[in-house]
Amino acid sequence: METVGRWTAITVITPVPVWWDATLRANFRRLARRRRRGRRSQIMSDLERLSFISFAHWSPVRLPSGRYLVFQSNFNGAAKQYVEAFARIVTWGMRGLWWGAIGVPGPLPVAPFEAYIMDQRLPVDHYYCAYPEASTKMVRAALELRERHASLERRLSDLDDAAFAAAVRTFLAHNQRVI
Amino acid sequence: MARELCVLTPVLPDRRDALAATLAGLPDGEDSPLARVPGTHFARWVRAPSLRRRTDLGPDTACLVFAVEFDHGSAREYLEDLCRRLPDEADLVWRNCAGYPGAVDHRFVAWLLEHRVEPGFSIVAFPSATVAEVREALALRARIATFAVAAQRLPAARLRQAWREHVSAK
Repeated sequence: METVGRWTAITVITPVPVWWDATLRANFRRLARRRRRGRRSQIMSDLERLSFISFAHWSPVRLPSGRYLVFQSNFNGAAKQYVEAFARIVTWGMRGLWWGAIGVPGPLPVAPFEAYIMDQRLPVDHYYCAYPEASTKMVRAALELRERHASLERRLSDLDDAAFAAAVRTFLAHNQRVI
Repeated sequence: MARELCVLTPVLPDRRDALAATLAGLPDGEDSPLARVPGTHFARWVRAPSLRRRTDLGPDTACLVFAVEFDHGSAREYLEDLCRRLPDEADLVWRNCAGYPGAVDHRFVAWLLEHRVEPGFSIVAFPSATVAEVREALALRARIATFAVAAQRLPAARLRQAWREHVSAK
C-alpha cells in the first residue's frame, strides 16, 4: 500500500562504501550548519521547486551488514514522474547524494536511474497520512489563505455593511490563486 | 515545527512471516492505529527483506523501517505518546524484532531510540505547520471556496450574515 489518497510513499535503502558514508555525513553536517545560519544551498532551492514533495529525507545508517543511505519521501502523484523530475531538476543534488553509492546509475540519462529507484524501492506495508485528500500545493495554498483570512477578520468588525461587503469581495478577488 | 524519526530494527529470522501478517492486518486510513497519535503527519512501516541482496557487505539483515513526521517536541515525546495510544499494536509489530524489550514501556522507547537512524538531510514543504493547523486551514479554504460561489450576488447585509455563518463562525 504505497499510496493513500493523493500521497505516495517511497523508501529506498542503498548500500554505500565506508568512504561515501563519511562523505555524506560531512556534507549533511555542512548543510545543517548552513541551514542554522539561515543560508540556503542550491539543492534546497532546487528541491523546493518540486512542489509535489511534502517531506523527503536522506539518512546515512550503519548496520551489521554494512553502511547504507536511507531515502524516503512523501509526494503527490506517480513514483515514475517523481523520480524523473528529481533526476532532471535536481541533477547535481542527486549526484551529490548517490554518486558514491553502490550500483546507482547517475541521474542522467533518466531511464537507468529511474529503473534503479523503481526496482529498489521497498513495498510499503502500512502507510498513514493525516490529510490524504490534500496535495502539497493545496496545503500551501490553504496555509497562505488562513494567514490572510486572519488579517481580514481583524479588520472586519469595525466596518459597516457596505464596507464589509467591499472588503470581503476584494479579499476573494485578490486571493483567487489560493482559494 | 514538524520533526522526523526513522527507526530500523532487525527482524527475527523466524518471525518475518508473522510480521508481514501483522502489518497486513492493520486497518487503513482514519482507522489506522497511527491515526490515534495526534500530530502525526505521515507514518509508514516498511519491511526491508534483506539488505544484502545486491551487495557482499556482510551478513544478511532483514529490518523493519518505521518512519514518521510529527509535531511533538522530540522523538522521545512522540514515542512515549505512541506507547500510550497504541500499546497493543506496537507490541504486535515490534515483538517480531530482535531485542524487543518485551513490553511497550519506557524500555521500549529507549530501545527504539537506540535504533534511530541519525537524521541526514531533509526537505519539508511546510515545516512550521502542525497537523491541526493544516487540517484547519484546509477546512477554512473549503468554506471560503463554497462561500465565494454562493455569495456572488448577495446584497451587502446578507453577505455579512452569510460570511459569519459559513466562514467566521466555524
